Amino acid sequence: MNVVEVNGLGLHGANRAVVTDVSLALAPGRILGLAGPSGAGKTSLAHAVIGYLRPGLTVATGSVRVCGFDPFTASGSRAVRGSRVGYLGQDPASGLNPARRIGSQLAEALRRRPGLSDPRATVAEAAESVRLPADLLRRYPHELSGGQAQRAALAAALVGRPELLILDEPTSGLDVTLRRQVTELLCGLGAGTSVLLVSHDTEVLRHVAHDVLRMAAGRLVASAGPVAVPAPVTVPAPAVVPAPAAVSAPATVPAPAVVPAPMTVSVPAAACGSSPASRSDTLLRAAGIVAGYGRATVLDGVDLHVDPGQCVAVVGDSGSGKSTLGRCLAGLQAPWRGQIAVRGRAVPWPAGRRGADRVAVCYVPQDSRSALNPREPVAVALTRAGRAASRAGRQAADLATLLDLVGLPGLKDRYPGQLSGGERERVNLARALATCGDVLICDEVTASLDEQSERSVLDTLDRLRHELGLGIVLITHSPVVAARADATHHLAEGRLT
Amino acid sequence: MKSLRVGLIVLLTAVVVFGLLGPWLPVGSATAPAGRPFAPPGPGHPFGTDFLGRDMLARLADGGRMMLLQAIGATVAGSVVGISVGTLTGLSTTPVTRVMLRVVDGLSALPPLLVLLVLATGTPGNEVVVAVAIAAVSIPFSVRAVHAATRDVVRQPYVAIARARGDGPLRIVRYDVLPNILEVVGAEAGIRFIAAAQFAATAGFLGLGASAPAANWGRLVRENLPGLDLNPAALLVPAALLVALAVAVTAFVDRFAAGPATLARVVPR
Repeated sequence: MNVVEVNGLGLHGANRAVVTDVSLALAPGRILGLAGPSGAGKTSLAHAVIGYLRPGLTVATGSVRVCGFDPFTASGSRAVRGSRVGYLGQDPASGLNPARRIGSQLAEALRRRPGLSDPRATVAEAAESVRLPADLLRRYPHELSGGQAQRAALAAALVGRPELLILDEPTSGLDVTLRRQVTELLCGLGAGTSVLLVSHDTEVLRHVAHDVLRMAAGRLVASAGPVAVPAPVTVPAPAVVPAPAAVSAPATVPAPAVVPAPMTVSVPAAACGSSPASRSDTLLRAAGIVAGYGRATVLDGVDLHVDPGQCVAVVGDSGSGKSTLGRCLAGLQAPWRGQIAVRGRAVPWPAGRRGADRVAVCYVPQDSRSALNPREPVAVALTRAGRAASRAGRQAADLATLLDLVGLPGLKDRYPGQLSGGERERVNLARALATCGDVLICDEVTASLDEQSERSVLDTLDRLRHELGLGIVLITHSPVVAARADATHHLAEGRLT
Repeated sequence: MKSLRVGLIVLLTAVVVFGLLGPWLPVGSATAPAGRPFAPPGPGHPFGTDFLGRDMLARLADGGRMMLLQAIGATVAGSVVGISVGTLTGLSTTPVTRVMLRVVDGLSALPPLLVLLVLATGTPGNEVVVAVAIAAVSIPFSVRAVHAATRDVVRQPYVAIARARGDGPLRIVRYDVLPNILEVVGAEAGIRFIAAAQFAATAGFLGLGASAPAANWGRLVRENLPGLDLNPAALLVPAALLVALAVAVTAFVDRFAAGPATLARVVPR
């Protein structure tokens, strides 16, 4: 019997079809990949498998069977959820209970597996399997980095040994090494667990999935069939680690890792012809930033400067403090020590006290779900940001231009709950752009985007910095993204090199 | 589920309209005797008569308005104060807001009935004072509930981002806080309205506000308790009106406060 059978499923929203006529089957022990661009309906389909429909969606046609149960009935969803199916959603930080420690949440997930002799050891084992350091089990979700939260949520999905694992972008926030380890882990699950793997990451899909289905605009477009490298149980070849130079988009000229004079970097042909802003003063200069949480020091004397039109990438291991640095720069978090100067003027924390400079540094957060007000349509969120810019004496861009810039025309009336993960990330980006800042801190903004959307967002950022002299700090784990930057800094042990 | 909710809202409208318009309904005198005491329902008296032989229907029609107006007035006043003070103290922790919270907490320590008695006996027969007293004793609960809900929202990253770009407290309350605490505010106002209605009924029973012959649904329950065997309708109908009011108000509040894309349906069919 197939673990999952979806027959002619159609999901309809208020005025459009989100998923149309999708049929698929997943046999025991198999790993089925689901690929496709942002907003194609991948997550809606994965949700339907556990019988969840986001508000406003209805099942128009077809049926879903999971282990023989209909997850849309009350008894079916009880039989399926938690025990037979493990689920890892997008934006895993929002999916963890903020009021409980990670270890307790893993133990909670274990309750579905009665008769264990040593639950504590099983929890530790699950944490180890996703390379989550044991001391993090004592922490609360908000004390974890994005990548650590993702691994904790993955451990919670795995620990109950479900028959079916539904993983929605399980590797989006992970760097190359961790991604390889998670890939190995998935390959080693064995015959007892089937996996429905939603991912935009073709590398991961290629090495893990037995079959890959591709979705576009709510339909399955082509079944790739068994893929070229069907070696799921063996450890994948080291080719998972992409060589950055080989993968980088051809339009860009990756600068050497030495800090270059920003204005002399050759401008990509794709960027507009106008000359970069002639201001030569440093937009943002951070000196000796020391920050941490409780008694733990995360940043230990970080110096960074961003010139007009310059793009600086900050890379580093999961949990190394990349987001903390971003939040300090943007004024969302006050560091223990250190100074920040915007255009040569020292500015205080928090950002709201920076006078006309308060919108100078904008932060695009990593967890795109919690960064958007759930009761506010996209248009209102962007208009508000624009008004904040006007009050600070800047020229606000209009709504349609902003949405076009991030490739989301026609979404202005949607609420965040009606957007896909990739769309939410781009709305966050558009909102930051709406404040017309001088420096944009992008924290993993392309992590849950497919290659094409990622390229178009990065192209947009390139264009903006060349046209408007915007400075950009790209916080990323991806060598492909970092290759776009003029300079790449590594954050390790609290220091930037 | 939906038809049930629609039914409850129809019920609420009916109860409130009957209560508010009752004194103008052509149902006869609420004070003149119309038969023997505790007569069971019969022709001309659909709910029978009360302990003095007055027509129950006329008593019911007469007894709703002042009680409802007191409850509505006290609830609205409580919500206005609760939302302003609650969001303000939830949004920023300064010495001023801390003192405000402590004052509110002190207010909640006063026994509600004592406040009602002291205020109402100072100005006998004044119904407005009764409403003011009800509002005063309910404000601390409103402030505390709104305060706690606001604290939750203020911790969200989207508020941090709005603050960072310089949105002032009023904008944050208007766009970020209010839409996200609407359900709490509504539910809290609903439960406070029910308490206020009960309190207004109690005031009527104690003879505060307008004195004896004036009807009040709460007072009708007490007045007709001895006649439970003879004419149960005289007791059950006003009690049922109070219950219907309570249930229908909460259903209405749920309907009103459910925003877009918030109610996740766990089992859709």
